[in-house]
Amino acid sequence: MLKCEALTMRFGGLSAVDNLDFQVNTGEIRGLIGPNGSGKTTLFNMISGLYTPTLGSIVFEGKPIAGLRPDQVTRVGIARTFQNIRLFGDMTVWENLLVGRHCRLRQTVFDDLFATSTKRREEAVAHEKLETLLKMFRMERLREELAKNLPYGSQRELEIMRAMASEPHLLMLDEPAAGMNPQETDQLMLQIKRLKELGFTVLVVEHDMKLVMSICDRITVLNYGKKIAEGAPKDIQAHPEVIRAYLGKQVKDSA
Amino acid sequence: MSKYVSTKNIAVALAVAFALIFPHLGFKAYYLHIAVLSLLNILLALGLNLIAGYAGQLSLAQAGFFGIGAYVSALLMLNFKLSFWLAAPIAALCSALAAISIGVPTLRLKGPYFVISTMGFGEIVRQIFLNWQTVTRGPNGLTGIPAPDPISLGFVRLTFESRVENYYLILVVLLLVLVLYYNLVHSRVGRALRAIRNDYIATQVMGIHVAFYRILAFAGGAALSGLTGALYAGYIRFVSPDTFTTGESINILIMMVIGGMGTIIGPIIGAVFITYLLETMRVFAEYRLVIYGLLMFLVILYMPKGIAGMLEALWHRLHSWKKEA
Amino acid sequence: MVQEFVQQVVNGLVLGSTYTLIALGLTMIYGILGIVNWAHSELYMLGAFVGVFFVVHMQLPFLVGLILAMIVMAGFGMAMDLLVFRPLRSAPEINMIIGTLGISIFLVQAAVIVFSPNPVRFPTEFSEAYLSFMGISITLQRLMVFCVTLVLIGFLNYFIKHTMIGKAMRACEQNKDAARLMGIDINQVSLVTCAIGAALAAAAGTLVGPIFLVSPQMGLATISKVFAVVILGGMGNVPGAIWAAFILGLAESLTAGFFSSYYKDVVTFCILITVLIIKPAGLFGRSQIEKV
Repeated sequence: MLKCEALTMRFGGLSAVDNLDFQVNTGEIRGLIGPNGSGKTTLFNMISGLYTPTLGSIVFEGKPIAGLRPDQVTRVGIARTFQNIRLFGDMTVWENLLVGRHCRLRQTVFDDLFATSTKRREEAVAHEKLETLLKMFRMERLREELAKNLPYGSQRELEIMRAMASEPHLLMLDEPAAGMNPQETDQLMLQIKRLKELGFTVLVVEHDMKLVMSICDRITVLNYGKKIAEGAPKDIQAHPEVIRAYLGKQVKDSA
Repeated sequence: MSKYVSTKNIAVALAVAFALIFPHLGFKAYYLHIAVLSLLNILLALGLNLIAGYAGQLSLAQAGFFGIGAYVSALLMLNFKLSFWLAAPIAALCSALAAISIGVPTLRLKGPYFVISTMGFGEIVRQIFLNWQTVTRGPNGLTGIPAPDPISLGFVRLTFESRVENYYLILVVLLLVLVLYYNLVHSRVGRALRAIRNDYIATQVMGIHVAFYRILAFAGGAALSGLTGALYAGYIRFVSPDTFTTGESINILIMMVIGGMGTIIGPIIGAVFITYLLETMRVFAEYRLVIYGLLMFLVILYMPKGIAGMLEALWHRLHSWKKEA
Repeated sequence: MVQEFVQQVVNGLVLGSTYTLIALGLTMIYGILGIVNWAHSELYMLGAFVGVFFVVHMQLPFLVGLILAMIVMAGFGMAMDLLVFRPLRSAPEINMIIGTLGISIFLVQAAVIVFSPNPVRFPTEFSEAYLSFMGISITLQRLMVFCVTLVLIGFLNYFIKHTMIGKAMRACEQNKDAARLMGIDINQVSLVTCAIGAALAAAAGTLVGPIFLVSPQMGLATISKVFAVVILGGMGNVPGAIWAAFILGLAESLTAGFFSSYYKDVVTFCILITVLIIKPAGLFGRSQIEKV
């Protein structure tokens, strides 16, 4: 589904991502791990259009997307969340979801200005779909709450819901479990598994090894911007390069 | 109670009714003049609100767009004998085009950079009004601008020579603008603008072309100001560069901030309140500006939604009392 | 012709010095504290009035008055830090601009009420004396503006490079959170930065006041130029501000002298807008890729 070839990102003299070949297959849950600074978020930013790669190509569902604007990338079918939550704090949960769905609403500015039937129709369709989404995450009673007032766990969930609102084919989650306690992490794991059942392809960056090892179909490991290992969770756990990169601690903990 | 007969809607209906019968309430002509100026300022404040209140980019160029609208409309009517009803939309369009031309290069700049660019633009426009004497007659301004062309409504013929007729014209325009404004703000465009104000990076990732919406807000606000300029020229029948200064842009900003940025009633309340004070308290000119300055600082810090925000909080408090009762 | 050119260059250097002193404070306050201070030119204006008080009313020698004005305004700058900037620290940028714009209006009008609504003359012992050579004359006052500016820049440079608090300021400019974790007291740095910024602006006011007239609106006339300087030099960039100040000062006076004084402001803005379109971070600014 997603294919990156010889992808490189240089900032000044430093290569954050170096000659990376990387592929995500349709329908899988793919983990992306590596020590801090290994280039995971940079890779995300390149795919989602916030950075333009210095070298290399990114192809999504057969179409080249490197260098597209972030909004164009989303419209093509890739959505992402952020490491530090970037919700629209002064807007309600419902409004955040509506903004997430923006690119799938097909009315024009004129329709909005004159409140035409096209606009009403599109908003009604959006209404239905987002209502379903809210029910799925059991957040209906929170819909009128301001995003900034939500408890931390709900904010993280809203980030994911907002990304789902645009009905992407590929969902990229940047450290979705950051700051969560074990119960919240378990709930998150179930939700990500459910995403796969619903037909999403998921790319997850995470430091929580328990989560990564238990839900990912395959894992890619980065270090200093290069790929050092790729494969099924059990293969990664035993991989000498990976163990060396992490100094063995975290990987052994989850075995 | 049906969903249309809420307290808010009743208040709105009363306000509109009051505005409609205002000229017949027996006030002196001077107060009618203030009322007309208030309506014009409401339109200007609403224009600024679109780019500053909703999209979160402060602009001090409103007076420039106001001036472009006024001069273009006046010149079209004076030199080309164009009807007001044609000149006014053209004037609004010119303001919008001006906004697009400086907006495209400057809207991607960070906050203070953009503000300075708008100040610069406003000054350049005023310099052009002042120095392009062959067209604008410089500091003397343009006199003898005709009133809006008469229209016949069957039983009555409106010539717009009188203050009352102008009042109603501007009021009707304002009400129409408010309907469209309300629609826009409560649509995905409005949501996109507010999202941009909250976090423009996250907004891009939502599939929203931030640059497009910023320019839309900027040009929309400019068009509104340009239209107001045309209305102003048709009412006062005289335009000069003195009216369109950065100080005027700041006045509009003060109205919007104190009334409440990012809401629809905010600019309305602010414009009416400040226009009334500005005109009736000319004697205390120095003192009122001292207060406005301090007020703007305190409001933006502690009460960012201004008077409108205060009223809304009050209304919520009343509402929850009623619920408990 | 050459004389005219040199004359305008001299004027440009005076203008550049003025902009430098005001812009330095503004750019430091932004770089170190993250505050956009729209009221900064009012510190320049108030400095001029305080200078008038010490030199004209209290009949003190000019240099003594200058130093006193700087001290008084340094105190005022610290008061501004406590009352205005601290509350604004966590506000979104547009609110910062609006808030300090409000303070600017407040200070201008307060000066009208407290000092004088009309321009005030500021005669000093240097106003009448002038040097002349090769047909060019330059008043001692103007010479002093340039020289004192150089001295102050020298002091500032020493202060930032070689004192503890100067190093703390530089640390805050690089990364405020890290600085705080290292034990640096942000509040103290804040006060010192504002004191220095205000003192420099006040120096500009006292130095330049005698050349033109002192009025409550004198800050308003310069604020957009000063911001243009800061933006051109790269916000937060101290040497950049100095270069940009002299570039814009020279551009302005040469335009006024050789083309038209009507359009000199237009030229300044056109330069600014052109540079921003080509290099959004300013001539010397580092283009920062925003961390996501």
